[in-house]
Amino acid sequence: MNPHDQEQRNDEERWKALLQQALPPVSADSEPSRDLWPAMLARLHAVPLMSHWFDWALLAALIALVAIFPASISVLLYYL
Amino acid sequence: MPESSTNILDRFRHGDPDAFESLFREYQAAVYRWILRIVRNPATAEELTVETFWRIYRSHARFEPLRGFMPWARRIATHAALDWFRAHGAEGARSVELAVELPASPAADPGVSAEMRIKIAQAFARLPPLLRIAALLAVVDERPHKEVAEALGVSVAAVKLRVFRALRKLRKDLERQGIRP
Repeated sequence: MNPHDQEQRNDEERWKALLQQALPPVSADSEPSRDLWPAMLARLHAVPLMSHWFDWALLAALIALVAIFPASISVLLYYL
Repeated sequence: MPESSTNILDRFRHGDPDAFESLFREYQAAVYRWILRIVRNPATAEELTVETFWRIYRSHARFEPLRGFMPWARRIATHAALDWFRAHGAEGARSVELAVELPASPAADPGVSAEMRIKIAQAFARLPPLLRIAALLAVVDERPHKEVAEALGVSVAAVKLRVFRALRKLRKDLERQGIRP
């Protein structure tokens, strides 16, 4: 180990002791205060139908296209 | 006979909801502890555990069973915590600062006063999130550098550099307040 690494290691050890006084390490047996599965299920079932702005922009563009060029309906239906 | 974990992981990768529930029940406490190490607030850690598993559920097709579930989950959890710090700014830093109000370890050094502990925690809370997370995991909670590197998606050398920079910033911050650890 070169002197720089040794110095860094000593520094880290000194700081480790000090920081562990200020911010106690998390206990290895810490657990959530409740079962989180019900919250997970609620999250899974709360998926919005359209969550991204791009989805709405695409829908608006399609409506505009159909309004301006009604003949495009048959083309769109072909590709759907 | 209980189902093998390899089979559960494989079913999860193919989007099986029952396999996802099995993994959630098996790993929720471990993921929660990992996040708690970063955010230091139990309520926030619970909220982010659900967020992490939501991201895991959405990414099931990208999961590689051979690399193991927990390293992958730690990486997603770390990024969820980082996003939370970025979104909550000062409030996120405050959760780290408040950790000082938790009971000190039984081996607390009487030479380190309560005031000094508070100042160190406040200085720690002022660190940029990327440096703070590396120092919390590698120095405070003594997680192996390799594990921290995998969770942050960087090399071991990058973790060491972040820890070095975090400690240097802390020292400068404390010295400005007249504290020489």
